[in-house]
Amino acid sequence: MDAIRGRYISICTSKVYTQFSPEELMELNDGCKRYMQLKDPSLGQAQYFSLMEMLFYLAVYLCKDVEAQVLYNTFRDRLGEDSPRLYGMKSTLLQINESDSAAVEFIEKLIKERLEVDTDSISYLLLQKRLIAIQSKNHDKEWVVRQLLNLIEKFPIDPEIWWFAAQNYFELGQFERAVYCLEEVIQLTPFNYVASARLAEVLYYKSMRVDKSVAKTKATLQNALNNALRSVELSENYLKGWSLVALTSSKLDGKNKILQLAKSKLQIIANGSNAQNKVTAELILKSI
Amino acid sequence: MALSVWSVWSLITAGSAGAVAELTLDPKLKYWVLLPISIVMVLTGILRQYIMDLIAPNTKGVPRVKLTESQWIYKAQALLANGSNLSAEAFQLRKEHLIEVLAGGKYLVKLNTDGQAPSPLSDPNLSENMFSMAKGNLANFIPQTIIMWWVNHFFAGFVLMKLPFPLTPRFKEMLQSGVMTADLDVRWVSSISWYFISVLGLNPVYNLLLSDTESIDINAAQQPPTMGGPGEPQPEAVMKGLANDLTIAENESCFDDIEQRVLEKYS
Repeated sequence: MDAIRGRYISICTSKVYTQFSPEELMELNDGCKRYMQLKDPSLGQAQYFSLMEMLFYLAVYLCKDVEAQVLYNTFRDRLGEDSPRLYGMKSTLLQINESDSAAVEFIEKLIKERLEVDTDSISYLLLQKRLIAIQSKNHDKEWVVRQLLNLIEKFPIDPEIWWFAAQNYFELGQFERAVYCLEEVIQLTPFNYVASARLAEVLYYKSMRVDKSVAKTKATLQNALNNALRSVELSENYLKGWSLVALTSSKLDGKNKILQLAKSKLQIIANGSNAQNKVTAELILKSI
Repeated sequence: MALSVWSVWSLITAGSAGAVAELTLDPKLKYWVLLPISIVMVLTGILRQYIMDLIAPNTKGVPRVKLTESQWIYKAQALLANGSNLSAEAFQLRKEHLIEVLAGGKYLVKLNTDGQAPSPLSDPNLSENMFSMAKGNLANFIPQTIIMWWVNHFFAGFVLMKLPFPLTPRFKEMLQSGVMTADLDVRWVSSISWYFISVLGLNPVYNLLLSDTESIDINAAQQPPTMGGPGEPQPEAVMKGLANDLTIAENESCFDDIEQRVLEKYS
């Protein structure tokens, strides 16, 4: 029971279910419902509500609108409406039952009339992120970046906004700014090896596409290699980290030892990892 | 039924000189005094906890600008703490920007028009906090006073039990309040002393029965982390202090010798 509870709680807190395929979503939805029916006595109240919230969003993803509405009503009757999570759920239901503009109107009104003068560390930020997410469909990336910068000025220590800004800058081809945003993420979450690898990747692309002089390209590649090495220093079997170490060190002079180490690590991953990692590692090894 | 002080005294004096008199307690004392006091104490504690939950103040919000102000302070602290994860150039860039922002007070929430800090006595939040604190204290004191009266009224002077371990005479005052005997062995416990022991010693029992640490964590997480309240350092002074700290901060990047470190770690 502990293992099942741990699995659902980690899926819920990491929000990894937002990346699941439809089959996985259905399996998770059924499994989580069955688990909730068991009334696990070790499941704390906060954990229970977190799982219920996950079930709400699973119902939304699976187009079970009535079920989502019932779950929202249960939350509202139990806890009242004055909660950032409940606001988020309500705006989602407004998107489903009415339109995006109704949800935008609801959030904007809430922020302007209430949260600008009386908020906490979660509500304002959560709803602003939600607002940008809803509105981004109808606007270009420059608009999204402007909104993100406005939000960053108000909440400069939220790594999620910095990460999203980096993503947008990268897609716009503004590598220098993407690098700055990713450095902010690393500064705020120093053991985030995924961010280090992403920074190395962006620096690698920058050196390939933007930097004109050989000296500058080398400096950027060295910076990329440093960040890739930092990511593997924090996580020994991180495939993306070792791939970037191999890729960048192969383009720099005098990095044979590092290159050989990266190749041997990639070989280990290719031999003993899951199917997807195995294929990727083999592909990287062939390409270097 | 109960063994009165007088009978205790007569039992002691009836014993042979120099020998410690052994008391024989009525076994019904356990069921009619010791157990009721203990049960009432536990139930009152549980009831008090629920009352405290009901009268607890709601999460108090703050204006968004106050959050922004404190977030810039935390950003500077994060740079000081985690700056070693950046390259020297990246650290220098952020350092200069933050010194400018903090020293200039760009995100500082403006005080009253006359530039004076608000008086703590005229702050409505303070009176609300004091009122909720008073409510909490009342919820503690009222049941304690009532139970103490109840124990004193019905069980005054009762000797309830004997502790199974020896104690020094210093404990006599604590364990035998209400029983005026100079020679009674210190291990005997009176009813009012049992009440006091229960008041002080039942917290672990309440923790076991009412353990709800998660909700406490959630409340703490949702409380906006701001500063500048009464008794706390003012944000302006904190920002200037951090700007000074950043000015003299040196960067020792984790990228120095990283190749060597990785080679040594994995070779």
